Amino acid sequence: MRANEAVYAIYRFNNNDEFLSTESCYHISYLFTPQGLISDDDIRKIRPEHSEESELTFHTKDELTEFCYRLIESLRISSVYLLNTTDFNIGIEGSNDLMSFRQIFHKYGLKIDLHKDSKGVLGKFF
Amino acid sequence: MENLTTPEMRDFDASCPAENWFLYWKTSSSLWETKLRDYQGVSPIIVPIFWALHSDYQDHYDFGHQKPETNLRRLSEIARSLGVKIVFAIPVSPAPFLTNGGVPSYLARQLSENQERLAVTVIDSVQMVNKVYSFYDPKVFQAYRKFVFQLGSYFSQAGISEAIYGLNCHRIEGGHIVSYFKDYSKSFQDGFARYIKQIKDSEPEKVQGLSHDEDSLVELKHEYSLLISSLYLDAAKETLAGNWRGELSTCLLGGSSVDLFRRSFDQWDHENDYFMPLMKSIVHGVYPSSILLDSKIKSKALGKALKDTVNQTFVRSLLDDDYYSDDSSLSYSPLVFFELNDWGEGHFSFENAMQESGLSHFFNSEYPWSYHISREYKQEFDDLENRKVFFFFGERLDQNGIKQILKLFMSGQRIFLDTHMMSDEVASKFRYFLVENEIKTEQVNYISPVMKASLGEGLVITYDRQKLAQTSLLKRKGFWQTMVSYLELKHMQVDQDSDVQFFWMKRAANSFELSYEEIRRVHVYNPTSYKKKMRFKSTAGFAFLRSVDEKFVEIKSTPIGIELLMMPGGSITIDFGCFEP
Repeated sequence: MRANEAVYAIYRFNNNDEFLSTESCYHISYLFTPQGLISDDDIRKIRPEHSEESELTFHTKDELTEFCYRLIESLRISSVYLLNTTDFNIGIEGSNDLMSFRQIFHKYGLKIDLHKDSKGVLGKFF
Repeated sequence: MENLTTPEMRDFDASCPAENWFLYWKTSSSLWETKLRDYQGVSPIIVPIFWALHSDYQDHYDFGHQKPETNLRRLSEIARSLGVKIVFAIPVSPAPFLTNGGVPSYLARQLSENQERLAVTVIDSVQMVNKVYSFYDPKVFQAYRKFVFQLGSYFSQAGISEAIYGLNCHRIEGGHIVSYFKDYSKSFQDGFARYIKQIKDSEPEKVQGLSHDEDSLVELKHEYSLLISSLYLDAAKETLAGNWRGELSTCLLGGSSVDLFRRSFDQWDHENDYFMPLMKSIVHGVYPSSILLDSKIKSKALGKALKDTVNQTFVRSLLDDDYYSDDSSLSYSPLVFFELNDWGEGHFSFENAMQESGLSHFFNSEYPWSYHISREYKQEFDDLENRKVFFFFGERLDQNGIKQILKLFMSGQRIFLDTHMMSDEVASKFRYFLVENEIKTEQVNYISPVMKASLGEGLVITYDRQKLAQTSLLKRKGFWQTMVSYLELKHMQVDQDSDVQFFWMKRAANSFELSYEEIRRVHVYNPTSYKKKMRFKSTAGFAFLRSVDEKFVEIKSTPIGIELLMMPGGSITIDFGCFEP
């Protein structure tokens, strides 16, 4: 992974389902860089309990954002573009070629990065 | 500001973007004759029908009256005059190589969504983004029905006699072959809600069982999906009855959600990623198509693999046309040792069953792509001589199913039967048969309870995949190695570096090769950017015959067999004669 590279994360919000007794959560559906999918090994560096079968779910948006910050630190990348599926689908409606498709993340996504003067992940929260 | 560089010349023909596909709207009708005359690929040529081209706006249909590119009669006449065989394919599912998945723009309202609720989108061969629109919108179905009715009338009035197939497009999503008909969008959810409401009155027991049962809900959604899908298929079949030849399932390489992201980044997109989908399509009996891929990625090993696998024999076998049946064929077809069969109704995941039992891992390491998956089991007596090994899954069998398996057994075939979730009825029928016919059985506990019944050459081995699933992958692999070694399958031992791709085929020996039972052909490819090695170990009963189509490969004979040194992008084809040692 290159230092100036970004990670792209597409997530969706699952509503709680009383019928199936499931809690509401944020779920990362796709996590990748321009070079490929983020490996389970890389995810385990941040979430040691992660396995190939387990899903990347978070109870709150803050937890999801914190995960992104930790990803930046752990993978030593520049930023994470966080985008939910609804916004992705809105973006795709107006996209007809590769150039406009690539812009979706920049246009509709939330860019998360650590500024140079930042003291790391904890600094972002305290 | 984006395109300041010199435009790149496209080195491929947009009207013939892949294999034997011809997209008539991608070129002027005045060039159809030249294009078809110059075509040199396999026959017949598949011509998909582009609904949106023939219906610009509601209740308006054009078959050559306004735009010459919509004149299918002319296309048919040109093909006939040139002696080129074409078949038409009317999509019965979204077809993502068409704009809006084939749906006319006046009907493109609701994007189709995948399981992750992401809009189903692909990048096509000219790097345009094609969005797929839902086929669950009632307005889309009504318009589709009208269109196929008009198409049917046109075919009959114009005297178009070419065969027509219902084209069902698939992709590989998370290792599974998924139809583009599968949809999780609002249109699907609304339709499903209406369906639930309807069956609440007619079949209340189905809905009662749904509470807190996710599996039943998934099963019911699948049932609804199949119902709507069959409406499209039936509409096309009824109105085009005179030309109808059945459904053609195709798998579009590069059409998954991950492919969408992969193909938008040059550093990620690599031909190696398309080998698995290609081979998987073939073992599933689904027509692979590279129609979405650009010519650059098909210029090396992948392009050769497509030519080698999607060959004349393969195309003819899938198009299931009597005209093509040729039992004494001396052309190569995929080598199949194991035939996995389904018998039941509704959804069944071969992938999951194979994962749980460890069969996937075993096949991948010992017999890569030398198996075939059959959704509808058909007993073909010609095939019985091939001595394939059959796999059946107890949970999918009914009384008739077990009867057919026992017939196979009596005719000397070798069968593995997974007893997981097999009904008591089916299990007792099987037991009674063995007792009544005094068939010798042996039982052993080896990871799973295993029972072996044999009669002459016939053999049935039962196992329980649930028991296997509880052990490590290594143990499961060991289980299958032991079971399969008992069958004494005749196969060459190979050893290859990672990412070297290969695919075995076979044909009958011809009159100059009478010392051999059959000829085995292996196609080997190195789609990586590194040098790779592969070794064929000397195996009793196999003789090296020849190597053909060598490209960036060094082949040498060593005391232990044949060794290949493959340069990046290299490929080679090797023939072995197979004889009784």
